[in-house]
Amino acid sequence: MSYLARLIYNYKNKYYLNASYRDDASSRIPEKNRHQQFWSVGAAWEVGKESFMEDQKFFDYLKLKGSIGVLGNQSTYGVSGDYPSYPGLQSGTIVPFGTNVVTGALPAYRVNPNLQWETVDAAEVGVEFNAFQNRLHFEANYYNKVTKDMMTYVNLSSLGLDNQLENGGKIRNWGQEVMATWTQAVNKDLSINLSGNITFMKNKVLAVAESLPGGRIIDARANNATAEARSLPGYPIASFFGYVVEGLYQTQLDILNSPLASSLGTYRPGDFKFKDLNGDGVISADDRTIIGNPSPDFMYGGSVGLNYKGFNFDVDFGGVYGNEVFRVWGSLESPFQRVNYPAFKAERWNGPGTSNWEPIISQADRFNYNGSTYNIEDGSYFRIRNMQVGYNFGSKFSSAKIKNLRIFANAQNLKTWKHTKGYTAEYGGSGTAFGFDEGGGAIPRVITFGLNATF
Amino acid sequence: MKYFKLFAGVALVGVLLTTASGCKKFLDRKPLSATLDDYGSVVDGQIIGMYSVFHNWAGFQTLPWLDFNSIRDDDAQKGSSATDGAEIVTEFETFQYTKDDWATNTYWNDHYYMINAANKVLYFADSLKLTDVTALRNVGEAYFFRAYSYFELVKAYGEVPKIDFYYTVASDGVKPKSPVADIYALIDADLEKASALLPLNWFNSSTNNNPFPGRLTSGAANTLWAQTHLFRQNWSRVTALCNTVIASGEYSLLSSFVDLWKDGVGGVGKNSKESILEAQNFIGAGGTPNLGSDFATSQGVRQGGAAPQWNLGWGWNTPTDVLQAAWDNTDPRKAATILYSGQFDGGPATGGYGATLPPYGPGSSLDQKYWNKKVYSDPAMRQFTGHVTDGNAGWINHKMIRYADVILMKAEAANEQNDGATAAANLELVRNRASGNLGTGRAILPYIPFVNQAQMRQAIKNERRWEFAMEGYRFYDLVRWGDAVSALGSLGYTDRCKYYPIPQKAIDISGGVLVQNPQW
Repeated sequence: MSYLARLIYNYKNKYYLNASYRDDASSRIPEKNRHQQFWSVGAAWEVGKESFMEDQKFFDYLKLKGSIGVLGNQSTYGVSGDYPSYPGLQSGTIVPFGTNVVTGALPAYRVNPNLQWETVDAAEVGVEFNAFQNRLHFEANYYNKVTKDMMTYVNLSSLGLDNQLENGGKIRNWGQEVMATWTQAVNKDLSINLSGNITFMKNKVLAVAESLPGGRIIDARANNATAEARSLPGYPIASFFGYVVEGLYQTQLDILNSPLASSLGTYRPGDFKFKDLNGDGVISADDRTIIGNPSPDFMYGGSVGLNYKGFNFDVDFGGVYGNEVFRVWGSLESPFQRVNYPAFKAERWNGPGTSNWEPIISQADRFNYNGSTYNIEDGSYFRIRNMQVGYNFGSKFSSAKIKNLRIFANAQNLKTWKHTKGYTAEYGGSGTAFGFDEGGGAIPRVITFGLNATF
Repeated sequence: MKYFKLFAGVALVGVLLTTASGCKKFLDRKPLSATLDDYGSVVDGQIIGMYSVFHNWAGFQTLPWLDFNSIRDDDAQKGSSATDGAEIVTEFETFQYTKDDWATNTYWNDHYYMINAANKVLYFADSLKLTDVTALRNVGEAYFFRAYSYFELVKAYGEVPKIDFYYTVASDGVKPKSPVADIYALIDADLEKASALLPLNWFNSSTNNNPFPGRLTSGAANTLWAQTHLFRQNWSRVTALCNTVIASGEYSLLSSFVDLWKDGVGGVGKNSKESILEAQNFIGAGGTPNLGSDFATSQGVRQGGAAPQWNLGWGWNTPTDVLQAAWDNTDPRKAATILYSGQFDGGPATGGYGATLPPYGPGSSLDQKYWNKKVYSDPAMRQFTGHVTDGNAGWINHKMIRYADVILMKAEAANEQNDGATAAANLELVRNRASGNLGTGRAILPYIPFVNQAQMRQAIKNERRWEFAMEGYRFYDLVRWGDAVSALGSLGYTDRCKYYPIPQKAIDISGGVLVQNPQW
């Protein structure tokens, strides 16, 4: 249920002001926190229309804009009949006593009686202009968003609790977006269209809710949940967490000369030599640290379009830079699996001095199952998403009763330059765990040849 | 003032106001599916849900439970195939305990799940001031489940967090470890209440039947309580509690040891007079209803390279060469406990069904030399349920506490209190039954008279080993007797192995409040 009020002011098509206010209530939120108020105010000034801009020739259009407001979000458990504020039940909780059958009740999730709306304090300022006879369109924005009471799904199984929706904490996302396009008809035969965009982004966990055990959000993946994403105050959200690999133990003597690591299990030459980060002389769970950030520093994209007489050429590309990927396979997969090993396993350790990075191949060496920098890969990539060439014959074949004929070739996902060992470099996930390569399939390259004929 | 005039010209494009009458009522509509609130006034539904956890969850019935309770000892091993669950060999058979694996995490998590569920029922029963007879029985069941869970935790991990309250804010569940004595104090308090609140049995005199065979009783609470005192060597309490159970007249030894494991069509071993605590499973004709667990399925003969009719389960928890070699062939229980690959199953006299097993041969035939015969599924029941070649033996109940344990606990406690006559008399009850009730002067499993305390102590230890082989008693028996180092040392057991390390995930989520066990 919503109450909504909205005002839009527009004065002389130069000054714009819009404001909205709403009061939303959701049955997914417990009754005491059910209502939440949201508002936003936005303003824009078309500077280019002011009289003092009449004398300049550079800008064909110029606009300054800004907005501020509070937005809201809510999540659910993603199960059927999903009412997070009511204690839903698992179906089929039926218990036999002898041959007598009795129905019982087991909760499907844990009700959080204090759950409230997630709110986002968002602010944005920007500039937009056109120049060079409107050939150039340019836009730049700076944004800052603070998500409060981030609604997140928390695994509490180590406390013997069902998973729970929690207001997990406070996150800040900020950055800049820049985009530009250039459109030009060079002459009657040639026209070009260029565009590019780049978004710089940063994020930081400002606080984790006190209701969360340990002041952290741990979201773990893979067979044994050894691939961990942690959200800790002061660090980027969903940072990868684990050990730092210094190399491999080469010999028994090497093991004897290194800090004792038996706290993590038994190990032998060919296994990972983890770094004693806290310098206490033993390798233990306390030597884990943040080993990667799944969020990129920036993402970018662009396109080029050329038309020359009947020919057309279009290419569309993009990529990300600066994020890490946590490769789950290759050391953390299920011990039940029997799979062909990837080619890089040929470089494995198989005797002193043979490798200082690829561990011995052995299902029994569970020491190497601990998530570590061995699993971390550079997630930056650049991809040609789409490329098309075509030629339009026009009405050349009108004698054959073909009014128009066009042939083209199109390639989707033509080529990706990446650093990951998996099939792709793009991995999704949830708000508190993403960027895990769990051995998913490749993005297909699709090549299409086409012919369009109009009779 | 100029700007005010300008604003006077502002176009007010729209003011939109939406309201809906009856909005509050609309939002208060509850889900159409049932919720826990529907069971709120009667906690019975929640208790039945807890039985579902107790009967089915891995931490109470299947692989993790078998790992902690049975596979860790010298008489049982992981079994299955060499590659299946290979890590369990390291983590449980050779005592290179892990801090982070499915088995140990699940064992921990499932027991705390049960504890939280019990706390919730106790909280609601208390705040609703429930006093009717059904609700009070439910309260007794909650106390029992909490005590049972804590007893398994304190045996496995030693000091653990004591959570004896209901909470809704997750961080309230983070507590440091409590001393072992405090955990036992909670167990004592819970079992005292459970023993008082639970019925002696669930027999309904007006309908003249028992609608709830296998449901918790005061006998189960008293026997569990006796077990907890046995671990603390509170011998007089063991004696008193065993005597209470014996005097109740509810239980007796089945006359035939082999009958205990007959869990097929009309099987006399299901919910027998000897059963004190038995996890219930039921699969009907043609597989419906399908209310089985993986307790027996996880242990049945694994097909390996043999014919499909030998796909009786996953093949975990199998007898070792040590057990086979140490056990005198004249003890009839041996043939009823060990099922041999490549041999005739012995027929009905030893709990078989007249089949001959394929030979031992990893890869080409069966993967193990021996199997746990106490969960050997009845072919007639396989036909009846339709689970002929799919390895499902889910209908077999887990006989968790048998009356024989009461008798042997009584014998042990008597011996420790220098009552040799009582010890010998009770030991004899179990041995005579095992012999086939041959009585005095028999050659098989002859009567063992009391000579001295050490001799009788050893006799009782031996008897527990044979009587309960493969049932999950031995590891903790060895630990409490102080025999674990001598019996298991060659496998890698050292003193620190009496307690498993606390799962790293539990330590991580506690933010350092929970501290790892010493020496781990």
